[in-house]
Amino acid sequence: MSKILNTLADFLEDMTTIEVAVITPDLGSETKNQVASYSRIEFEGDSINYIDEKVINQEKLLTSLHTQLIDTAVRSRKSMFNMAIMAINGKSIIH
Amino acid sequence: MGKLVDVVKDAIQDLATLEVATLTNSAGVSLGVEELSVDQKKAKKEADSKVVKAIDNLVIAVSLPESTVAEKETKETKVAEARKVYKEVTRIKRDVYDAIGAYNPGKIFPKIKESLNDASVVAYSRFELDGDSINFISNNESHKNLIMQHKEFVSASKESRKELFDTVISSFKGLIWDKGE
Repeated sequence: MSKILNTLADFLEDMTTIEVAVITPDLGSETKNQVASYSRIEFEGDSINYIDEKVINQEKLLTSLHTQLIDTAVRSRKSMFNMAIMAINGKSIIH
Repeated sequence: MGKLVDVVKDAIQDLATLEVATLTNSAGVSLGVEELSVDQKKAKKEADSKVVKAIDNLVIAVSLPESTVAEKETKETKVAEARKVYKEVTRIKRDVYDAIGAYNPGKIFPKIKESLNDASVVAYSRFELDGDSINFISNNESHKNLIMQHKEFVSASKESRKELFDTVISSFKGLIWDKGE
């Protein structure tokens, strides 16, 4: 029973948390990929963000891409919530 | 009962406050192994080439003519076979990558989260519902750009919290409207 509850808790956490990562291949190694940036935004807005020092100082494009990805992910989650609300309120999503 | 009250209290406080942390790590966070042994390299190369070959075969099968009934049937069979092979070699590739600890897309987020233990805090902001805020900012000159980026993260988090409040309000509105109708 507790396993089911844990799975359910994990699923809910996964559904309500946004995780965005930008990964770049590290030249010189065929299997090593470097995390350029990573953000985890929880349901209530709390967030943890990681950016590689080299990336922020040298790769402005990657940083800008990361910001855009967060924006898209937040909007995507908003759409999902809106759909859920409409469904709960018994309103048709497709007219 | 007291424990439940504490949990509810914590949840309310968590919902009412917004916390944003920006971290960095001068060593970087790498995914995958640093060096592969000769056998591992060989296994990886084989798995990669099998996938490439399977994709080529799939492309060839999809490009086959289908003007007659017989051609159409042949094409369908070839495409189905090629798809089956592609699925199989992709699975093998995943297993090989897993075995050698190389890059695996499914395990990226847990691995990044683990690596954050070694990262240092560049900026931290905490906003309470009534507007009170606490901010920590690193005085390291090399973190100047990171601090600018922290501002963007705070905006995104605020937007996310606003979205949560909007959602709660909308659902209550919906319930009240439905009752009124």
